[in-house]
Amino acid sequence: MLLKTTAPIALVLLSQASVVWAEEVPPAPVDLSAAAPVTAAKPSNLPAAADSPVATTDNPTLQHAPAAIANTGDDFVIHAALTHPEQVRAAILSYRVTDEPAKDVMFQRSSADDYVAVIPEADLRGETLQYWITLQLVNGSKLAVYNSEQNPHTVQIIPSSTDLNERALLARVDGRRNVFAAMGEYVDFGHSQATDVTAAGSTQATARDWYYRVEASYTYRPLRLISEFSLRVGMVRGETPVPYAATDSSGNSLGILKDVGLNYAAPTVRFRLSDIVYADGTLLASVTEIGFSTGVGGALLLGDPYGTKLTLGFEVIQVFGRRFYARTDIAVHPCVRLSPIIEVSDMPHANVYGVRLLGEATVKVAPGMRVGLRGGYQARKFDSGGASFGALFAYEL
Amino acid sequence: MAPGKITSSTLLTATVVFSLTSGVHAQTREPSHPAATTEPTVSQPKAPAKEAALVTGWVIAMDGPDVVLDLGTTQGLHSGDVVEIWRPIKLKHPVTGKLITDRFRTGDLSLNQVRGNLSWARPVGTLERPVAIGDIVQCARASEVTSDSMTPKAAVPSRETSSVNAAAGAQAAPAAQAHPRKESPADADALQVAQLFESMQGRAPLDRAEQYEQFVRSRRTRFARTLLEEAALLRAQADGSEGAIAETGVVHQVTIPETVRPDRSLVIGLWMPGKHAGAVLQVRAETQPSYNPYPMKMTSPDYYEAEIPADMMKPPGIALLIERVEQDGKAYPLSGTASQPMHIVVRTEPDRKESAINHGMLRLVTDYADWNRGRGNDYAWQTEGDIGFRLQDKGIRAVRSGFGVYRGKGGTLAELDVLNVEPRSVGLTYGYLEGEFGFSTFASLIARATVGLGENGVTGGGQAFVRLGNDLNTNLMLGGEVLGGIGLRGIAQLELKQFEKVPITLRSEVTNQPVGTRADVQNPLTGYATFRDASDIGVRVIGQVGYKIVPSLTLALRGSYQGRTINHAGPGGGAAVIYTF
Repeated sequence: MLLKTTAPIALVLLSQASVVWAEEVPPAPVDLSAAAPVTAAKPSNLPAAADSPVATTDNPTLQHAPAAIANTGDDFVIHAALTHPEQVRAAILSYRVTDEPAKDVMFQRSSADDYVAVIPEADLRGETLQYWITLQLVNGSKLAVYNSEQNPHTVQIIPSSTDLNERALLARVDGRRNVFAAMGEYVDFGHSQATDVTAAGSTQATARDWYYRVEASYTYRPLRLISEFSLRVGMVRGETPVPYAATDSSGNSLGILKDVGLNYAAPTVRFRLSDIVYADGTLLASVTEIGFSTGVGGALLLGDPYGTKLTLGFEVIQVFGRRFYARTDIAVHPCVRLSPIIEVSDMPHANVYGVRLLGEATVKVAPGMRVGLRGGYQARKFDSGGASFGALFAYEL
Repeated sequence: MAPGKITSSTLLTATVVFSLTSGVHAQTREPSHPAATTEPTVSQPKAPAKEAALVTGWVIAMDGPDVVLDLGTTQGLHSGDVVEIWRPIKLKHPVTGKLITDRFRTGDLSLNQVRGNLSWARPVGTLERPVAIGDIVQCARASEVTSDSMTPKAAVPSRETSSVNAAAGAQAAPAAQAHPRKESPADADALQVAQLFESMQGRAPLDRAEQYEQFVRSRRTRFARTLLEEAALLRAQADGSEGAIAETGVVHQVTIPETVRPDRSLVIGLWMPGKHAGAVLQVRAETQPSYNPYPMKMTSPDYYEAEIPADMMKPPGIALLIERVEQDGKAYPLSGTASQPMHIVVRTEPDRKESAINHGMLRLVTDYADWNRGRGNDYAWQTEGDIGFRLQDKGIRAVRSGFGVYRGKGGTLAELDVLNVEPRSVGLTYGYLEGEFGFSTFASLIARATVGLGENGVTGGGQAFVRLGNDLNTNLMLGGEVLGGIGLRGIAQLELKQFEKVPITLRSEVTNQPVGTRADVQNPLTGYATFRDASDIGVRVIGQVGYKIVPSLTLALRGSYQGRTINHAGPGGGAAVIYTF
């Protein structure tokens, strides 16, 4: 029927008088009187639909390149060209993401293209997005110009690589983003010597060189650029011969100090630099047997962050000392990890550096629960050293 | 005049303008030889006897200073006429892989001699590019010719039609319309469109698209649809990524993503107005030679779509093309061709599964070397244990970390054999980290960093080897070692793996260990420090034979002989346990 009404109109428009007449007449009528609230422009599945009156008359049409994908991280923008906008009150893009009610956004003019509809980035969730386009005409009727709610167009949502990586890593850690851990170790360096030089001469003292450390930590795993952040609090107590620089009121040296210790809190942030390269940065605040001390630490992780990897790191704490370490975590079994550790350290507050050679074994005893033991040998003097042993526990939630 | 009042004269005018309209559509949808742009009037059955024409041809040869054109008096040209010269550009987009064509005006040519079918021409002034065979020429100042004389030229294009795509056609169409025929001056719509086209000559595609859209927005015109299609086409071509792909000249818009996820179906939508029987999406895996057809279902007028099933979406990707099916039932390329399809990368999703250690190894080795016939004044005893894993042949091949203890005594030959001085004791307790980097399956570099505690405190050292041959097969290692407080070693080691259960290692060393460094040694009795030189260089030969008790466990014994002279020498031995997992 539309075709029949259009032909004479076209002829009249082409007549000599048509130019003036065309300016005067109202927009060509659109036969939508019999239409349902939303009228499909043409039944689908029929190639002959190309002959549709809607496609060939002056009825408004909306032309766009149907989207195939939508990338997360950016708004999803659909560009379209609209004919006969004077007949259109609103061009509506309706969309639906997984199991959620449909939402509408309007096509609006843009400076770069004809019309754009913008789906907010926040709505790009799940695997797919479905959309369809309807025109609301000035006469109050609606015209489905592109698909319909019953037969929407499906767009694949492409997560960003960061999102994908987060999902993969989260699956890897069984969805457990929280880690509560505790550890304790006893470290024996044997005997060490220290020389205290005073006005009266030098005094050499020998003392046992040992300490223990207990530590508790909480870690949260965003698993994005910031892969993890954690807070450790701990305590170190021990003995080592330390020349004490302070003097008493008479100016006499206080001599060799033996009891050392550290109470500390240390936030750590782990950055994901690539799939196999991560970096840790740590700040530390503490009090020692002397007073307030600050510290920093850092580590470079190469390999699988939750499996086999190599860690090269350091930690420097005012007064208390420095340590540099290399740790190789080897997942010999999905539940068992062996870790040789090589450490050079002058902690706690020692005069000279020593070498620690440690081995650590952790076992996953239950989902999210891991226990471990460590042991080794360390020495600051070639002819004096001692053993170390410790245990750790971690629960992932 | 009242609406609906139609006279015979207005009908004639309508016919003319209909022809103009059809010409626009024809130019839009059918790529053609430039000559084919010589007016849509060729399709007019009742065109006026004479009308303006745009004559277009080619540069077909260079003859000395003259340019030879395939235009002549047949096309109504005369000596002295000036023609425009255009450089056609056809490029494959380096990112999207899509074909992009356009042309640029490089200047004018003046016709010196015009014959029936050929002309000599020379540049007018300086051209922006030297003339090249294949350049397009067209007469901007068209001559009047009869439509009859134009018909053969337009009907018999001399080049493949694909050489000028629809975008060029879209350019040509405005150019063609820039010379309005004798339409009725009363058809302001057609005249305005013609004027719009004329004003667009030489303008950039995006400018033209914007002007077309602005024209449609600013007034009511029956050419709105055509103009918008042109605009979309021009924008898409300028954009070069999404949107209309006009390689075939059929206006359409389709979005082909560059990258998608694996194992998920993908819906490809197509906007293709006009009378078509349908469209077919042809898809193949990048690794397959043939395409699977997916007929595109019409979902709305002018819109089609087809779904590529999830099982097709495998890395590295898919190749696809879209064919349009015309009313005659024949299929024609629309986007991409079978030989030059479009491509979609199916990316590999990140896999963060537990890293599997296929070649893990625990190793414990102890080795004793007596350098002086059991006298106990020149010997070394070294024990090492490590754990490591092997990844791949190329790149980081293996990583190992372990601990070791080195103890020994020694001195110079003179001290030990002539002066009978007490030997110096040396020792090192150390840990090490070792990595192997494979340049190829055949060659690799091994480096070890060592840190340890010696008699004088913390010290370090290292090893470096070049391995020729794969570590899993017979290979040769050449390298050396330096250990703080211990000395140097040059090492050549041949690992024979010709016998499956019996791995054999042959090794030779040139070394000044165990006392390979000079030192001032304090005499505990006298309290005086004595300068002590390093050991003299000696040579070791080691043979180690292993046996695989089970495939994952190898026990090995080694024997050696070493000496600094033929008299200052002695035997050695050791053992190794190797466990692989």
